[in-house]
Amino acid sequence: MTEYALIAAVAMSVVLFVALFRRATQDAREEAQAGCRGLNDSDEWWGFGSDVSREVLRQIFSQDDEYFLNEEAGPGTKIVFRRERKRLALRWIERRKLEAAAVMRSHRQAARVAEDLQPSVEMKLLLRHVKLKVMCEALAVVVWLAGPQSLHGLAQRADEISHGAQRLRQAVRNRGAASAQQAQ
Amino acid sequence: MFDYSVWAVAIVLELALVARSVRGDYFKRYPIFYSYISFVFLQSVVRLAIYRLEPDWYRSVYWFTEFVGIIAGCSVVFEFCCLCFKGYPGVVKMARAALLVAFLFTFSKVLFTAAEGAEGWTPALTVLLVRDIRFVQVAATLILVAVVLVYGIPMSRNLKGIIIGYGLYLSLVVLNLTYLGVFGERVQFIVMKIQACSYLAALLVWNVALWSYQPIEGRAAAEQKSYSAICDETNEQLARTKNSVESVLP
Repeated sequence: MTEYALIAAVAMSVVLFVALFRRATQDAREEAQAGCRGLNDSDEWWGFGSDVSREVLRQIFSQDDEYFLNEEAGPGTKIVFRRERKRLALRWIERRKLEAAAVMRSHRQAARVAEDLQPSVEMKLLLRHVKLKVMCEALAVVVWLAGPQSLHGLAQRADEISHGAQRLRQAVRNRGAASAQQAQ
Repeated sequence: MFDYSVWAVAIVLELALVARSVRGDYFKRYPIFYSYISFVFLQSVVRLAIYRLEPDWYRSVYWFTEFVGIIAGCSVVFEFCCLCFKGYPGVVKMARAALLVAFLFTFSKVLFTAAEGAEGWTPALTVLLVRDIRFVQVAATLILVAVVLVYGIPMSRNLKGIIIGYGLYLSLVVLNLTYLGVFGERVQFIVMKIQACSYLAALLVWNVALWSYQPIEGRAAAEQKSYSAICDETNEQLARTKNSVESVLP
């Protein structure tokens, strides 16, 4: 009985999390879709390759503005800033997802009449698309939970934890070697 | 009374379908499907006659015609494939590969059940064998529908009706036979009624969808590129998007 309750609780938590995530990113999805349909001309900079797009992208996911605001701005400004940054980042991620889906759609339209189609290659492409989609979803979840500027902070923390674990492993190994020598 | 009513309505609907096809000359367009309907119509009449006149024969006639019906049902799926994927050689290859995988996964269960039957066929085992074969058909139908949806193959109302009607019937039959196999004769009464109704539902779908002929519109233009060129282009575009996403990762 307890196991069933536990499974039900986990399932409900997952459903709740997904529902909240979908709701929170709904605006980003709608804006990205509108941008893809060409309804929003201000989306020009989302395109690939341009210097503006690279610079804006770097800025959205960097911590520079966050540091600046921590020193200069009040709490209200910080809240608005974080909310807008998150919105922009989520919208950018949604746009990448839509682009990948459009690429696959046009691929399928072209491939369906190709006489030399190879099912194994199709499966590989499908897997590649799924991997990209999973990557975007994971990125969106991190951005939704911690904000775009936290990505670098999280990486630093992960790096510290990894170094800490390495140091611990090394210490344990050294101690093991020392006790083995003593035993001899 | 209920059984007779369902039987009678099914025969009327089958007759309407066949009559409509003769009148509109749809038989030429979907020869296998209408042959199947004609077969099922004859089967219903023969079964009804035997049920009334020689009830002792009914069981063996039922199972014999049921197995012939299953084989005939496979040809309906085959015709759907031929008509739907005409002009899409790439999709035909993909569907063939997917069907082979589905067949390998599901047919092993049929062989396993058939091997059990070598020691003696019980009614429950016969039901399970029919269910397993039907399950192979369900898997094949689902795979074909998935390929159609994924590759955006245009379908006419007629083809949609054929596959939706047949898929609906197959799914309900598999569910029913599973119950029958698990719970045995206790649920036979209700299972048989549901099965008869499911066929009636399929006939209704077919009558609505095939009332008039509708050609398939929006076929792909003949413009062809080599598959490797298409893949190179897709790979390049996916790599560009991936690099863009990875660039924001620390």
